[in-house]
Amino acid sequence: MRKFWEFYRINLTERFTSQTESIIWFLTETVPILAMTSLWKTLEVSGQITHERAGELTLYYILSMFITRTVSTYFEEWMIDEIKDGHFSFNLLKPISIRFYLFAHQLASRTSGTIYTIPIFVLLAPLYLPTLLSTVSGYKLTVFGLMMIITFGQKFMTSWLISLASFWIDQASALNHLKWVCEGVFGGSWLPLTFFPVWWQNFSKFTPFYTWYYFPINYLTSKTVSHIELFWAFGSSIVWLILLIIFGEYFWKKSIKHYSAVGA
Amino acid sequence: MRHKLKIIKIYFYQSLMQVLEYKQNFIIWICVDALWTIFDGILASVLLLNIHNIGNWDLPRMLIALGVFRLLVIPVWGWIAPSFAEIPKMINNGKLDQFLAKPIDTQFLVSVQKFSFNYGSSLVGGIIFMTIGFRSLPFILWPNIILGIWISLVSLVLIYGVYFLTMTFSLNGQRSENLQNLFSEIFYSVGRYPRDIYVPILQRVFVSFLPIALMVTVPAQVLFGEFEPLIIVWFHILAIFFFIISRMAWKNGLKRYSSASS
Repeated sequence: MRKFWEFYRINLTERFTSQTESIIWFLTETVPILAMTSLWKTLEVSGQITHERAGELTLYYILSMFITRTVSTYFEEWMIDEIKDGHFSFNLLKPISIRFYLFAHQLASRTSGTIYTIPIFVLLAPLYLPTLLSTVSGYKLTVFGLMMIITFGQKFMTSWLISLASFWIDQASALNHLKWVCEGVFGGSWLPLTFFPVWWQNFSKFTPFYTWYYFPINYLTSKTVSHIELFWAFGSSIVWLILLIIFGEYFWKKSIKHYSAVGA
Repeated sequence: MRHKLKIIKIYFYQSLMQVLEYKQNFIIWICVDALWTIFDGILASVLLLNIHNIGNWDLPRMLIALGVFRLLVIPVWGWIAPSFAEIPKMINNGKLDQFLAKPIDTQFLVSVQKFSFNYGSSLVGGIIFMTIGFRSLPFILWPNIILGIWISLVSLVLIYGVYFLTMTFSLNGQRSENLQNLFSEIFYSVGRYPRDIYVPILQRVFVSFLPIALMVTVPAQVLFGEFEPLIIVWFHILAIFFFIISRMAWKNGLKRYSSASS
């Protein structure tokens, strides 16, 4: 455990050292949210949606930004590069599991990501706080927090599986695009799933993406989520996490056997 | 000029040869582009079926704008982005020095070093979106289409200028390999909606300071007949301004640049 925190501390220091990169990530993740928030505000002013609906949608996007900043994982791009150019071999020689290191790395990355987002949350507070306070409770926040931990695990394992794919296919980063699109259409990261037809929403419930954005936000902000729906979402997200861990473990073993490094 | 065209041709063929060598990669990325094109179509349709109008755009107008966006994606992600993506890497590993030592303009060389040919789906999708959009409009004015093509070319100059300006920040010495994502992400999320949707402060930012909100909307508005002469003039001024300012920023950045190997 001491090793884990030491890795965490080193990575966190590194994140704060390369401030330019952190600020760029912050901008790329917040500007789309600000654009969508602005859209709902304008629709409210033009009378196309009610004040309450605009408040709900604004809150939805701000929480979606919170989820992206706190639990999204981004190591697959450089992992793919490391596997392709052979640098990955160094990781195999170290007496520490690569997943252990990556987990500490991503945790540090998300810590810094959250810290960088605090000013924008404070700045936008008048836009979302009244709506949030009217629905949120301590119990709901606890459930939301638990779901975020599971989501972090799922996102970590998805990134891990995408990275492992590069042992077999040259353009594994294409899978990343597939993940983003799925997050958008089944997870509700771009548009709340209530905008989609009912059959689409029902189908989404069977994918892991459903509990990444739409369900946790809906649970926190809505008064109509039943215990059965909560049980279903929680259960399915745990099942998906277990499945992803099993797949991750299975493909990791296969990949190591399959791997031949550059120069080997 | 002929010399530069020859260099473009060489880089173009080099990129094409890579595509022909790795056909599987080419097919994968064509599928990815098709995925995004379909995703854009779904998102716009779902949004407009629920709220009917965004600003003064209805679904046909939104589809025309989406068509313009998908067609602009071809030069942006097929030429500008692949070339610019190399700049931070070249700065970090010192390869930019090789370009600086060559007897040709460095900005030109870094701007044409790589091409991508994966955007066939965007071409098809863009044409389909525009065709559906135009079919639903009560009229099509051919002069508007010709002007729309011209404005799209001006938009490309503006995109190049703004994108290149953001990339010049990589010369400041700090690690910033993700800098190439900054423009493309904001262009993707901000560029597709009418500029009226932004609250005044964001409108000021995305129209004047970083005019991403104009890059797709101005050509699209010209195409469906919402002609605003002042905006068109402003658009031309912005394109020239950003082209010049990005060149100046690059030259100034190079003066301060110290190679990774020195």
